Amino acid sequence: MDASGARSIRPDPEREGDSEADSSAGGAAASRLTPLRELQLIEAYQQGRPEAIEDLLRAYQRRVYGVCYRMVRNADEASDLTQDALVRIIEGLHSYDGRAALSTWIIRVTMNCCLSHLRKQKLRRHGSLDEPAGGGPEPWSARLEAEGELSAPRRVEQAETRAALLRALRELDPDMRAILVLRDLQDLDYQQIGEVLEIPIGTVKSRLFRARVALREAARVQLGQSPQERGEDDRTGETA
Amino acid sequence: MTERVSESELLAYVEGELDAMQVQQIRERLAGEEHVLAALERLREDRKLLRTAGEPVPPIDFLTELEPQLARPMLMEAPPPGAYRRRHRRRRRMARLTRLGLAAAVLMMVSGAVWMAISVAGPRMRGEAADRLRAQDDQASTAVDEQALAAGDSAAASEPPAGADAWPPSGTAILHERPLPPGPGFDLAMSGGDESPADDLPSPFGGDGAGADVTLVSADFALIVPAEDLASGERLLEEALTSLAADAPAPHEAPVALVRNFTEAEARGLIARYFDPVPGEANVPERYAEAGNDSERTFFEDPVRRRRWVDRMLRELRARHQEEADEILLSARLLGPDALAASYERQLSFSGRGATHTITIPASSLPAMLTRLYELRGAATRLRALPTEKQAMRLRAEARRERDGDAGSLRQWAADHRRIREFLSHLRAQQEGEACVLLPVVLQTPVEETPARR
Repeated sequence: MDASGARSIRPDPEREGDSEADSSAGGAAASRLTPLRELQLIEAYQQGRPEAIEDLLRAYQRRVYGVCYRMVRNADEASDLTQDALVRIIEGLHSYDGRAALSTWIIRVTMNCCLSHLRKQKLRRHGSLDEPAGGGPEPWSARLEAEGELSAPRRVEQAETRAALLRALRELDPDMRAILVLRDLQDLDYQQIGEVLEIPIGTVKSRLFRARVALREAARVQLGQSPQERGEDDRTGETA
Repeated sequence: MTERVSESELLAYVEGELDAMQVQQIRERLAGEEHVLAALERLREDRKLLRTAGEPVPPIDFLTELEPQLARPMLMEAPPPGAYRRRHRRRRRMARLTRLGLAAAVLMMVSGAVWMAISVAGPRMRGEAADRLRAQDDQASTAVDEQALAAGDSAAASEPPAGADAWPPSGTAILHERPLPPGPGFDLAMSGGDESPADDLPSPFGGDGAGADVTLVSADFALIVPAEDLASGERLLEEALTSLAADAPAPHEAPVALVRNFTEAEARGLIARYFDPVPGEANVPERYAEAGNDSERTFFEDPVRRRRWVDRMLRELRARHQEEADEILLSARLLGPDALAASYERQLSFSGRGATHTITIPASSLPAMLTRLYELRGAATRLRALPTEKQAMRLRAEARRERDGDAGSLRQWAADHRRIREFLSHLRAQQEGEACVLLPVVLQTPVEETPARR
């Protein structure tokens, strides 16, 4: 999708961390709607009050962008995906039946856009989530045991570790990434994650644990690399 | 080792879902495996760090950029498949031939009767016949007006769409608000055809598919196309239509057309040019004097009366200035055959509602057309419901007082999309896959322009 027109007023697409105090484009997310208010807006929209959809989407666009950005970690791609997701949300809103919470439904639509995009890009570079944790014959604990040997000094700054984790997130299989984004960055519970990804709660739990182990392992690699070795720009400032 | 603790327990530990006692129990069960406990602590720390990472800041307000993205999905459902269309087309062609045959037979009989009557009654009858024809002319005009009311303007009686608060969109080239410069300078591009068998004068209500083997359906939504100026906007439309035609099996026969809409200012100019607007002069029918007089400018505010006057004027003009008739301009046809161009009456209706141009395009090609414009212009093209003429007048008056730009474009889309969808659904439900759509276009330019006719 062409979002070239969406580039002109970008202040600093990669800025983050000070989100709650921000009053920019997506600042409305700071004041999330109550479920009752959401229902009122949906009803108003379905009854033909066009301003309702604007209020609704304004409250969600930041969250949608957040999911997209965490999934692809590229501002341009995230913007395109956000627009794509918002279009799908609008298109589907008239048929929203209220079975799932609106937030869950919106995140599901968004996540589907992201996963579909990533699958198209053939970014599946890691093993299946349903393999044993870590994907190898070693137990998860054994793989993490080795960490101490690789990066002996454990005293890294929290900010650096967080940045490494967020970079490492990008290296994970999209399905693993999705579950971590939903759990840690979108604060969904197991039930909601199951609804978004359409998997049972038991599967959510086992995948989540394996995703955590995989993330730690990928972060360990990130922390052991210099910025040049990482081959990326560090302008993301993902240091809260 | 960790076999003593299940994976779900480990997860619960990392997720902080256990109470103090349960945590203690797990630690006891993992006693002697400090590296495992350390690994679990690292996972807990990772979790904590991720959860405090904050949300990325969106670079833009997506809602203001969203409307163009919403246009295409509306058109994505394809009209009926070709097989049905071809069958449907054959049936329509047969019906049309039958009607034509019957009409020809009736015409021959009537002609014979009239010829006999004239030859018997002589010159005295000519004046009466002329009066009768003029009376028929007036009746035909009224009938056409009523038809126009019943069809094209039926929406005028309905409630204005909610949220239709900015029309034409900001930056639209409003052609109809400036009179044409005096004197000659018009070119011919009038849609031909003769739709009223009761008339002996050619009806200006031609076009709209007259003579062509297609059904033309008038869209009640417009394509909004931003452009630097009118010329480049027209080139853009021509380019899109031409490339669309190039994909057709027979490009030179592709049913596409483009006209710059005839406007009421032009209609007024035309009347003023050919009929002295000063009342009382011997050679000026009083009715035209009324239409051409600036003091009666509001006369044209009523679309039905406006059409009636232009229609009558054109009939008489053609009768009185036959030699000039072929040079009368009613619209600037930019592309495609006359038969496919929107009739001047349709153009007047569209221009009165803010549209600067009208394209004719097969219904099934609507998505492709939009895609072409996306390719040529980026994601700036969008669809808007077309206001009725009365709404358009009110909105223009309001817009003059305060133009509010496109701030509420998503809201506008939300107000419009049902109506547009209904039109498209109707088109599909009627199985009019072979139909062509007369799609009004609003060329949005930074500066309002009055183009020179070519």
